[in-house]
Amino acid sequence: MRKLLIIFSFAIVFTALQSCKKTSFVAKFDKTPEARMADTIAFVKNSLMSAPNGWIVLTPVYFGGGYGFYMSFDDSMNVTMYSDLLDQFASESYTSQTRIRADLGAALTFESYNYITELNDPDNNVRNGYGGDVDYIYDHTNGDSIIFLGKRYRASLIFVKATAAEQTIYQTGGYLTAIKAFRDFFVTNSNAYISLEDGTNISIEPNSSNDLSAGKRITFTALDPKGNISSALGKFAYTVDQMAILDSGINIAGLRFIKIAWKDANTLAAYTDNGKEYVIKNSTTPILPLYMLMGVKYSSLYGPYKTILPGTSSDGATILNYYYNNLNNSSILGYSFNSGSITLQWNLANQRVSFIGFCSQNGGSSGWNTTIVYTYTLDANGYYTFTKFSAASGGYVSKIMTTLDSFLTSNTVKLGYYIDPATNTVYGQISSIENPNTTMTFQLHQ
Amino acid sequence: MSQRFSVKLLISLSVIGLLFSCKKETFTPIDISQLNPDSTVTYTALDTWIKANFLDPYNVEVIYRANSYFHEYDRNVTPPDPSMVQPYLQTVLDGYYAPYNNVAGENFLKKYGFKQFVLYGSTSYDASLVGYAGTASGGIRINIFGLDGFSASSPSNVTSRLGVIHHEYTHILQQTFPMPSDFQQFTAAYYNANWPSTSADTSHKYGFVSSYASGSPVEDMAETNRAMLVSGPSWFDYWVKTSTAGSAGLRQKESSIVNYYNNIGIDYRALQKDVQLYIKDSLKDPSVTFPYWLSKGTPYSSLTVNLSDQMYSLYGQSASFAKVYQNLKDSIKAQTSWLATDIQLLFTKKDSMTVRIPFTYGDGTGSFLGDFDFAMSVNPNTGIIQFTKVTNKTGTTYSNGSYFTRSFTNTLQAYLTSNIFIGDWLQYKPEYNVPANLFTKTGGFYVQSDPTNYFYGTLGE
Repeated sequence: MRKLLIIFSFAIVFTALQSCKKTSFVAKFDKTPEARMADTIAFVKNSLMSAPNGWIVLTPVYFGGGYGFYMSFDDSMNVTMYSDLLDQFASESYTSQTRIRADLGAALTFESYNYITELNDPDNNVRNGYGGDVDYIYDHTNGDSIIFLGKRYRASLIFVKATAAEQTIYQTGGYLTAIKAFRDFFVTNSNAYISLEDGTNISIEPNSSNDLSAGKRITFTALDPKGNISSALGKFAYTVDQMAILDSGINIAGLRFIKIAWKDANTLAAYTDNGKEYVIKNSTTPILPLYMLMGVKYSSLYGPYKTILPGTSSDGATILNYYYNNLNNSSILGYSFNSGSITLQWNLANQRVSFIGFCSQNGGSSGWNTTIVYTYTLDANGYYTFTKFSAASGGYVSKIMTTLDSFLTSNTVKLGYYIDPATNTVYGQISSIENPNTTMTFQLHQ
Repeated sequence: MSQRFSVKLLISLSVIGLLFSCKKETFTPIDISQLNPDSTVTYTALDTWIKANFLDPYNVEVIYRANSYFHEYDRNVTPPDPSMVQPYLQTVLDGYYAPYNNVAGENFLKKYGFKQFVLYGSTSYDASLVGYAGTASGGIRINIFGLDGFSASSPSNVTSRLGVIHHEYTHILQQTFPMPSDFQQFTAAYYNANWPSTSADTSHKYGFVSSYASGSPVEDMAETNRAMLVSGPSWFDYWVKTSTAGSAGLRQKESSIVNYYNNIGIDYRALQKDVQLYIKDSLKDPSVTFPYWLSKGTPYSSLTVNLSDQMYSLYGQSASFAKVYQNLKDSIKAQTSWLATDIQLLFTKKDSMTVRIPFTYGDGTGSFLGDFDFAMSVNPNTGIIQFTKVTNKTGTTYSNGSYFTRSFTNTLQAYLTSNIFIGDWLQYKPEYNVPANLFTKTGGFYVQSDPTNYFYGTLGE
């Protein structure tokens, strides 16, 4: 037993002496962590400073839309910046300090105020800002691009090397000019769309505002030949030559759109990830049926005082004129009015339409509203069925709203566009399904 | 026994072997100088200025470059625009360091001042969406938020920011010298941790200088001190006079803070005066001037001038006014044989003033008052004050005055109505060397075109 104990003891001593022998250790990396971090920091720093023409920088922020920048770094890592956040930022540069630091990786920290700070600033959206960051962690390099991720919000910050020509445009006020050109195009072409080979039309609606929940985003809505509708939303940022659609682009109708850019001086086109080009055209009327746009693009249908708009049938005119022509009929109303109007106002969130009869005794400058509210259902054909939700209230003209009220509650109706051939003006038209001869045309108010 | 010993020896050897078996002969020591591979900060002229004005004299590290480790981890807080930093810091040097240095000695803030000063551009919002302008922690660090809105050219903005520093430094003091134990007793019944739900009016009513002050005694003391130092003693008196249930509590807190400072060797009233004179004379903030508070109608109700008072031998008097004063007395005596004892200006409303002349019979017996009414226009921004004689009201004091109307009209009334005055505290000239405890308790008027022609006196509330 004792011998066993002695042998066992020797074995322990021998094992102990041999157990931590380091000759078998193979390091996973050839350098220490701090040396590798130093290498990464040096790489990122040198990369940022070594772009002779600066960088085009894009980021889709967490809460807001997409934002574009031009940045150039000097030898001390001071950054000079332009941004599409505001017109002033696009035309006036601002310089601040940056630094590459060891953080959760090599971090590019915008150390002092610059335009990009606005996206993180909690004063711009209390507490959260727009969901941009001050610290961006280096993620990877891809060709001429360097990609960082926001430390808190994880939004990518993509640096793409600018060319000398692009740099010149940014530095000579061309960024704002370019942004305005894009914005103006979509103002002029208010019903912008592209046509695919299979007959599908896709409307394109950018929102270039800085609205937190809707701004700097672009909506593609596809209407295929069978009438099927689909929609996709993406964040975009301006560069001097394109509206870059960020993240993974917009996937719709089997295509992935990644940018909108000039095909020539006056023509914009949408481009897919594999380079297919679709010229953006303008339609006289929106590509989408009117019922899809009421409460979205258009807030109401409006009938001005004693105005029977073209496209209104005689039956329709009878309904409307009962209102207009009796505004001064004090035997019905008890009062006499010298002006008034009809408004059908959509409330999409609650699926209601308000019929507002306005009356005035001073030519329309001020007056009173009488309102009837309907709920509605919308069938697969886009036909409305209205049900009265609340009876006429307020104002003085409920007694002359009866004909249109009766029409709305006793007919299935559809909405359509009506183009006045004389003026090319686009109106909204209500037609009865049961009585196709009854049509009324209204102004479309946004 | 020996074998047993051998076994023990072997076990001991094995233990020793275990202890030495992992000896790190091949371990490479870390080079500390290489451990943090950050790219170094590029020093700018601003950094040099900060070093010369904060680090070297006070050992204070000013941090204005973005560093998320100095603020609450769950908040977005952005770095400031460096162009705001030096102008802001200069107001801190002038409105915080200089008064403490003057009154407490230069070593006080070197020893008890904060050591880290972290500046941020944006506000810092907590989860309740309450925005913070500053925080103090550990007795050494002050964070200042919202610097991007700083405007050196806006007196009210600078004064407001100065208030943040004095508020936060009160916390630093609390973290070094325990706050007075009695402080939290004065308005104990009205503290409410959910201070955002307490309106400014309610907090005022119950003896707090702000809603934030009503949250806790610690914040109450910091806010009260800020109000006393920066908003000023006139503001504080106004606040006390216009409070209801909280007047006594406010006075108790005032007294407690004065004692707190005195106990750590600082003449509080002198500190208060220095801060106030900086705000008034350097920042040109009208909200701390005598005319401003005259224009408010509260708290000042009277000004008493009696040139026989010792005050005038200590702090001087104007020969021009002394002549008017004496002429008034002589003229009244000649007209009525009565003896005027002094002059009082009663600020009955923010736009009216009554001159009251107390008098006795020629033998010094009796005690009477003679009144004369004036309209008073005060420009709180320029400090210009003009008096216009208006019809007297009626009553005994006016009847009394009517006996020497001619004397009054030709002397003091003529002086008051023919000159344009500038109102100010008595301390408007440092050479007067007026004690700090008289600051905002004495004030007067000088002729705009001739500052050597003036009168002043004790202010009544």
